[in-house]
Amino acid sequence: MNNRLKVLRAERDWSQAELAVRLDVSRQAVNAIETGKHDPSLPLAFRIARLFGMPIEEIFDDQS
Amino acid sequence: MTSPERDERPMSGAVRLLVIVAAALVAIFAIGVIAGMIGAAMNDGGAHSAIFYLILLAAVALAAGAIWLIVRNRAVMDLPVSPRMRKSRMLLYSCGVIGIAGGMAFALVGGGGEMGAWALFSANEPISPTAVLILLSVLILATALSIRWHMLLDEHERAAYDFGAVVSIYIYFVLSIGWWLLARGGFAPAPDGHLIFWVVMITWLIGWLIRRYR
Repeated sequence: MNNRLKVLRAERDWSQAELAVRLDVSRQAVNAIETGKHDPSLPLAFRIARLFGMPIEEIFDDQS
Repeated sequence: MTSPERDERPMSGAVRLLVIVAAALVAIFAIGVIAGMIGAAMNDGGAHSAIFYLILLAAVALAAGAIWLIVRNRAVMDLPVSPRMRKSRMLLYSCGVIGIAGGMAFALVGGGGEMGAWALFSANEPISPTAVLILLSVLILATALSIRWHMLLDEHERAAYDFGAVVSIYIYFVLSIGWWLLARGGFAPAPDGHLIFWVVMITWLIGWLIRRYR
């Protein structure tokens, strides 16, 4: 699944570790989501959407 | 200024983690040798040969080198600020400390007899009752901590463990039944449950490593 996590994170000048702390997950989890190796669960996707103040579908795109 | 690109190389972290794991195993082995030799010296009393002290010195050097490697690569072990990850890491380190303490106690009581710590890796060598009680205590305590640790994992790491578990279950299924059939047909000796156990555990570890750090 494609996502804009890396771009959104870069816009805020956050490192993966900083984003991981905000989401209460490991840095490896953030890396895996950004690179499309792990699709987040619905609860985590909602946490990400709330953190960036955007709807889920503006962050994640299931149509490549 | 924070660079968003600065920490996007998971494999470098994986290599450092592997170095730490390997160094920890070497350190545990060396500390076990030291504890075993000190235990033997306490039991024997009297003077020992130069070779005894040379081996002891080599074991101390090996332990010191391994600990130096762990300290040198410790950045990968830094505690994250996230409360859940911090608790998870602390539990993991606690399991490691308990394991090392148990190994040292095992060596000090001479649990493995003449085989020393190697008796742990043998399926049939006798182990002293005191050592068995020590190891059972470590097993129960470490299992309780591990269960709590699993409850704290984030979904990515849990998925990595699930992947490793599924692969190792398949390895267990194929290896145990395949070996049993081969033995019944006269193609192989009787299945070795001890060997199968280690193959399954190592497969689980490799599966977890691949999925988490790929």
